[in-house]
Amino acid sequence: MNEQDEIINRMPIRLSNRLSLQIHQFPLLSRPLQAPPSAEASGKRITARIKPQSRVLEIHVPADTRTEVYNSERGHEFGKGQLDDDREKNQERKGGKGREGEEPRLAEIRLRSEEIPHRGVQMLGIVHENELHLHPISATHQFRPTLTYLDILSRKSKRRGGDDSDSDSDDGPPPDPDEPVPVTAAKKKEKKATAGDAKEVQVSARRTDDKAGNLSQLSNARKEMLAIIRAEQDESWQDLQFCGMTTEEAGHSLDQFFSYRSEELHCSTDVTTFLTAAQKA
Amino acid sequence: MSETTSGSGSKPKAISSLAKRPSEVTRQGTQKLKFVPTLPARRSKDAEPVPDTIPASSNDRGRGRGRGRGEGSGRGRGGPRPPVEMVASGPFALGPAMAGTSSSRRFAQAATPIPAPSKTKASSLGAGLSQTAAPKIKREEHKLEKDEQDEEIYSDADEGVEIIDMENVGQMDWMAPDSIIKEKTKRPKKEDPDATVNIANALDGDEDEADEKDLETMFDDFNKMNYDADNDSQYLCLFQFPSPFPTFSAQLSDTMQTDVPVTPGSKKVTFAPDVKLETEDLSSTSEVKELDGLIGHLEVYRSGARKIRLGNGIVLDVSPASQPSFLEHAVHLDMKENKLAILGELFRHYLVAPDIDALLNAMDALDSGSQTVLAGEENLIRMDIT
Repeated sequence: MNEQDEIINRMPIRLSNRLSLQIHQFPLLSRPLQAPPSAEASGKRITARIKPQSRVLEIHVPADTRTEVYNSERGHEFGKGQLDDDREKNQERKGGKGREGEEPRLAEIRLRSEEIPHRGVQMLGIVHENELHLHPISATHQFRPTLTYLDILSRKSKRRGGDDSDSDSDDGPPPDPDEPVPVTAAKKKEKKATAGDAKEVQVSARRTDDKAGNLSQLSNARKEMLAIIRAEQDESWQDLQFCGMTTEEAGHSLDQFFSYRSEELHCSTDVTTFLTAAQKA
Repeated sequence: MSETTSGSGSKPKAISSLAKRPSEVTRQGTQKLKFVPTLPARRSKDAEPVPDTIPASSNDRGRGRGRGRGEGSGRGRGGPRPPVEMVASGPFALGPAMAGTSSSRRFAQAATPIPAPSKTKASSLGAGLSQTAAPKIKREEHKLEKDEQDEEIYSDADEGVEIIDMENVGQMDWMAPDSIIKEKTKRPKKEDPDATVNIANALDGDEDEADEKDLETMFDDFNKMNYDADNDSQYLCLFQFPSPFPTFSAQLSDTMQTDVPVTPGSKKVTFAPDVKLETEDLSSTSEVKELDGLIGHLEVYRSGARKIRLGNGIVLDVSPASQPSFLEHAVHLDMKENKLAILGELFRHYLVAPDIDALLNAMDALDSGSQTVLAGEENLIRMDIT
């Protein structure tokens, strides 16, 4: 750093931590998260819901259902799939504005969140009145569209398609790496024997793992994972009111973001804690 | 390498060659993917060259939207130019340096969130999107440039043929696909037949340009944020501080801290007991002392450097982090009222790291201070293990 470097501007930094802030990331490159104008016109809005214990959010964005960009047949097909999927997972929306008579159709894009662990401390900073206001961010969520209705539909079609297909031809789940796989080992031996002299070898393969999965053989990690998944599925959704950027509630939250007291806070740690804490960890 | 079909046939289309030329590797060491169309970009008049340019579009790796893209970069250029270096599409393809432009582009659109839904015609539905109230200066210049150039090339519309500018396809309708963001070339008017030399130079030039641009944009950012009273508090920035963030507390004389009950709004989301996640100390406890006050200063230097000076001699360097090209919202989750309020879109990412000189000095001071001085130590020989 050269010594002639002069300070052009000096901005005070203020800290506040009143709110519970999150960062939401969306797979959108060039447009904001909005409902399409056609959906807005028909009164549909973006909605959100959360499972607080599992820390999963879902944002539902209404889809553009104009005939020139929307395939109604597939829409109905997927809608039915989605309804079945919802029923299975026990997350069906109660009451659908007389939807009982009408056939369900896929009219929204569901974005499901996944929490991303933080590296370091994330702070949101806004420059306001020549002051930088900082606020810690508690979580970062990445949103991706969920297409779970496709699972249901493919399951139905598979069931319909292969009734007599045995478990051999079925693409079951890949073999559990924790569980022993004796089948391939036996086959290999057979091959080696025939490679030398032509001996008759009888090989019998016995699978110790069933399709059903012997629970006692699952490792702890898998049990934990399954437990987490099950807990998440059992938890029910809590609806949230989605307030866009331009709404009054958002303005109110933004007001709460800023730091208002101008007292100086006392710092009790030193620059060295960055290194010493890292050494301890 | 010439831009004719024969030349490009000798080079692999989708995957960059194994022999790494310096121009092909970004600063971070990752491979830059290069795509060259099989046909040179030609100034096209409406329908005729469409069948010709379709094979060219197969080069493009735009996922499933290749057709329109291939044409787009060929047609929208306007004027005979050397073939376009098409960059891979997707959110991460632009690389850390270039993503700054894309984020700024998107940010401009967000300024006017919802266009008036009154128009129901398909072609005019998306029209309101592009007319932003507060366009970025860079973007506006680029647009004006483009408009001037594009004005010339369009021939008169025949009956039944609608002239579409491929760069603005995304603005035609809500559901219209997005065009690939064009790289701004320093030498747009040069029609150099010696394409190889030009391309290599262009790539290097772009790299330096991008890095300079980063510092410049940071410079502009803080100044802009400062003096732009109209757009005050519209720029949301993400600062990534090193962990652990220095602990602050209200002045020792102020004992009000302990009495004030923690407002529900400041409670962080509770965690399920058996979930292991790397979390911040701040957020794992439900009792967070409410902080509100001045902690330090952000110093802006003439050289473009930024430093944050907090109490206790903490000096931190601020540098631009890799800018994500996707949309990010800063959101307030109010569990008490079941509300999810969007505060805004993130504009920039900054990386904050301790100033090394200050840190080393402080560590030295810490080490020398904690050393226990034995009696007659000066006579002993010191074995430095560190």
